[in-house]
Amino acid sequence: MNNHKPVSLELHHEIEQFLYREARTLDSEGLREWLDTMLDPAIRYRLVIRDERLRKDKSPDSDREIPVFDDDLPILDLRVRQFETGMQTMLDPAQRMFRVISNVEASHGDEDNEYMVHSYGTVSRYRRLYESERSVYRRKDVLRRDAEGRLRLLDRQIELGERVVRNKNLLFFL
Amino acid sequence: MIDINELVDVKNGTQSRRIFWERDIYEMELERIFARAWIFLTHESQIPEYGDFFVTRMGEDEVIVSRQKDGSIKAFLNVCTHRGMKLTMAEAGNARAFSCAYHGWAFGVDGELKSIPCEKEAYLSAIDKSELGLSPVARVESYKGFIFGSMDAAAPPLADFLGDAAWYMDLWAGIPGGIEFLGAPSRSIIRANWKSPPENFIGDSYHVGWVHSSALMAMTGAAPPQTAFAGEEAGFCVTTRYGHGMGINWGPGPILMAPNCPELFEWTERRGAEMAAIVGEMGGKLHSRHWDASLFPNCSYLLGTYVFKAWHPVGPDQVEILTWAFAEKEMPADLKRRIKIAALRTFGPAGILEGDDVDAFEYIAIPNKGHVTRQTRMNCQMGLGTEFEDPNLPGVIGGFMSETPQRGFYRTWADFMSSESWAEIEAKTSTWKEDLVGKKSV
Repeated sequence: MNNHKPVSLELHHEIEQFLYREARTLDSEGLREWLDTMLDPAIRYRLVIRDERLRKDKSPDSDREIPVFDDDLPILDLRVRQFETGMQTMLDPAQRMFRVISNVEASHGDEDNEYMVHSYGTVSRYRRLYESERSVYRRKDVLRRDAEGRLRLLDRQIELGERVVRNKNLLFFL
Repeated sequence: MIDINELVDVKNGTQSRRIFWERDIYEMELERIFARAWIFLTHESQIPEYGDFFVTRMGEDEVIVSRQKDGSIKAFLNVCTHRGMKLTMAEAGNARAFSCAYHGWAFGVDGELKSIPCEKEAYLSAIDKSELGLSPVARVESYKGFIFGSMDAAAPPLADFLGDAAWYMDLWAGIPGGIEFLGAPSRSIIRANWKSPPENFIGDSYHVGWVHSSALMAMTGAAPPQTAFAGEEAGFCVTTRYGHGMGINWGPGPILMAPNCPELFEWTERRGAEMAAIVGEMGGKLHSRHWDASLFPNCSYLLGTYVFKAWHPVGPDQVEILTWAFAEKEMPADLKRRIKIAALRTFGPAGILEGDDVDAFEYIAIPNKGHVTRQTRMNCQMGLGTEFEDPNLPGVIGGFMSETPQRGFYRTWADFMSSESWAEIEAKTSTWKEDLVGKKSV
């Protein structure tokens, strides 16, 4: 156990570089590469939106949380396969995406080879000449180092800033 | 002057693009459709206890739907009767009173004005609280747990408004134990006219094999040809007196839920057999199939995919989409949890299928900014004149791949828009079936 201590400067740099590379991989439509080289096979990928209630509200999370994504590897693979069909007219011409990652904090995780990482992000999407959209989010990740020594994403919880989604869809990975 | 007959040609199945864009037509829709028809508010399972409330909209009028002490349900405009500020800022919750944030007028869950700060000191007791309660929604009724409201006291009973569509709802919402909505809805706003989504959900089997081909390929390993969704072997569709409609596919209902909820195939088959004892053989058979359906004007559901939708207009060119997953109350908790995830995965904000549809809805609306484009018409003639009656199926029936339900939706749109009152709508629609089926012999 590591008491969730902050990681060393060197480790912090490695983790940041992982997140930046991941953003660039996704921006350049490297979805298969992302699945194969950056995700742990035990990945759980979640994006949850909460409804807006008064502070005193005591309702259980299960009533309030909307699981926009709650995917394991086979489901993430299914989403990527849809992209790979090349038949999604929605994505032709190609849209251009820009993920900007910031506010990275990293600490040691529950296991020796795991790291807990907080980060913030904005994603902008431009398509169909006139469309421009942006989402702001923050993430809690668990990264795990695999047998070959490479970092992989084991768990990601994304919280979106907006309650009412203004994007035409959230069909992208954050 | 707005000429409804020009905007919707009921006989020939065409619509002017203007009804998907122009502000004056939209304002008329708010008055003649949204302030008159039965509008879906929420499901009883969202407000089970005394004081539970859910905030939603009827057109652009925001309303609080609240559970009363005696178990009944009331709905009110969500505005203070003093200086008019929006009353509750929560979208749902439990309350004994709604207090206005501005000066503190407080209203009970029954809508009555309970207290006014400084009543003695400032109003010198010269105010009659009994006349200053919240503005009520004229009618609130519930059908199999689905709560609707009408702003028009002259509306027929909800069950009459649903008409033949109620028979179909009974087949799944009438199960022992009933239906439950699984938590808060997802919400998103898209740049489309409010009529495009219900027009799609009401029975557009034509688009499935085309715009969704990538999703079907990824989910099932093969993209069936568009022709797979045509013909009697594929299914049938239904239209009704007040424009509600559906398409029922003979394929197994939970097909899109298969990856995470494989037990639903057996569950729905078993339920279908149970239901057959209650609703007859045909009803039992339909129970376990996949349906898409819309209730005029602005809610939809997918049976088998466990999705219920409300489409709230936000001006003529935007729609707020509310999406709930639903389940049978008697299903195990773990299955409900997985249904919620799997349902949103198909038709939530990151829905594998919803994304394709939304792109279409938006680009139906956007070209209408062109003056000349707007003077052109939309074609909705597939299967025109082939509608028929079936002794085993209420409503008027059309081919699974036909635009029979869409034409019914716009027929009803025209009936509402051209009428001054519910009495006029009822008179106009009294011979709807003969008018529609009569075409066949012409």
